[in-house]
Amino acid sequence: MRAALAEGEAALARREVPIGCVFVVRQGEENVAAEETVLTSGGNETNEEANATRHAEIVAIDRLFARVGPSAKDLLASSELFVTCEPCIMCAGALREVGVRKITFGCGNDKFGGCGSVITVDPDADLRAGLLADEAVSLLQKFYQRENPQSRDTLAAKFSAPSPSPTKVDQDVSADTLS
Amino acid sequence: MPDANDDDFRQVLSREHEALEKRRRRAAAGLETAPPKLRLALCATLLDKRDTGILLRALRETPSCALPEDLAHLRRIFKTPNDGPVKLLLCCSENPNDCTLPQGLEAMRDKLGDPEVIEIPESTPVSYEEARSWTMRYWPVNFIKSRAGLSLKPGLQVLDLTQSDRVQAGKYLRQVTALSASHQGKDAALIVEPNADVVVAKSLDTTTEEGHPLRHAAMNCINSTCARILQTRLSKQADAVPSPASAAGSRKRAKLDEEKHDSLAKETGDLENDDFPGFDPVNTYLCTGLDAYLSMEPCPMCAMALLHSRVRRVFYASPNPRRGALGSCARIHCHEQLNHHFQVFTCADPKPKES
Ligand SMILES: [Zn+2]
Ligand SMILES: [Zn+2]
Repeated sequence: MRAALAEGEAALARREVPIGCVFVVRQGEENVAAEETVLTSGGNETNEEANATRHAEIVAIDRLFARVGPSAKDLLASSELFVTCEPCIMCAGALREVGVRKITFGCGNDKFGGCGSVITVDPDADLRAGLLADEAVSLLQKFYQRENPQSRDTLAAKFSAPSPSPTKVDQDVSADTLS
Repeated sequence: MPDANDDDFRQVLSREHEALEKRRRRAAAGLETAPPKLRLALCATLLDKRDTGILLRALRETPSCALPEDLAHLRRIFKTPNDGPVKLLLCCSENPNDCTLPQGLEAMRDKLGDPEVIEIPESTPVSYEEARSWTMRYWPVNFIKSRAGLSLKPGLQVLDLTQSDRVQAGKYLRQVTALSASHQGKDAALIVEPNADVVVAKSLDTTTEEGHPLRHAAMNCINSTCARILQTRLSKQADAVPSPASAAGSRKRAKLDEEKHDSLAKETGDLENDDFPGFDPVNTYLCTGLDAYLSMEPCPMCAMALLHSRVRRVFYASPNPRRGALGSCARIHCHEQLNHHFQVFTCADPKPKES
């Protein structure tokens, strides 16, 4: 998650919404000192590209495909994602398309969240919420204070405080369920 | 080529809104609708009709007789048929056995008959027809247009397409279906500037060719649109000032996306160049004001990508019962919690896929 936050910091420096992510492959047994390799990483590029779909997760996935070609799919399927903010509905859909099921995120995303906050795109995803959430939120606060001081009050509504437990996001809050 | 009158579209609304519209249509057709939710109230007969004004004022000024805001559709006076007695709605009631006059109305006791407990519609009628039927059955209610719907944000309302909207939508929907059909039924997408009536970008699903699982038609089409807008913007900027180094990367990719678009445009024998008459890429923010046409209902990723891109309307030809996110499995475009909403239309009666 530190690496994801660093990607977020880099996005902030580019005047982008500071959300960052890394896809990590673990070798060795779980909970033992497993070796972790960062497969790919990314930060938001929506402003630079004038394209609202250039979220950190999509950017990181595209980078891997650009680097290794179609074999990226198998690499991603065995990876897990660390992202500073709950993936939005679009990214949650993209993660399901590439087969990433293990997702750890920092703060929740009450505005667009696709991992429980607005809807649950992939009911089979293995979610962990709230890791270093305070840092993810303060990064976002820095951005909104600088870019748009008036919207500071709405920030609280956009990105919720850390969820105390991941069980909260396991529930489907919507009547619509995507299967 | 089918006649323009064949272009009949069905708007995809939220489940709640859809139920309401169904009820409205049934009521307007004089059909039975589900009975209203009822609640208890106290009423009394006016002994002398000339006291109506005095009593109405007394009810207005007595706090215990005030009706809650959500019962604004109820009338106070019930003039029974054939010039029969006039009844007054005194207040809401909780206890079916309590017929005591409301507190503060004691001075009016000699002008009223014995209060009685009745049932009144708590639900708000959705049409004149429904209001009339409830009035005859329970107690007089008004149809209040501003209260008849759900409190809907502008993007969530019912949109009546004009005849020229229908003609345009029919044209592009046929175009996108034909594009799909001429490419082994792969999903296809168009992004259109509706006022200038031009195609801004045209894409196919390229997941197989590119070995990239995110290259759905709608995603490709958004990328092409943004690339074209960015490309034009950057070249305009380059004319004015030397471009910053940071823009070089995005320009490179914009160029790539654009070339992809151009090759498809060539292939379909429909060349579009950088000049869109009536379309101003420099001042277009994301896909604001643009319409998307899809051969197939989009998945959650594509639906949300369209939402993030702020498209105006989405038209799709065939529903996707397995994972469609604009009607089949979810209705992302009208989710109350999301910040942008757009109107979605599909064929009124989906035709079987052309082969
Ligand atoms: Zn996202
Ligand atoms: Zn899709």
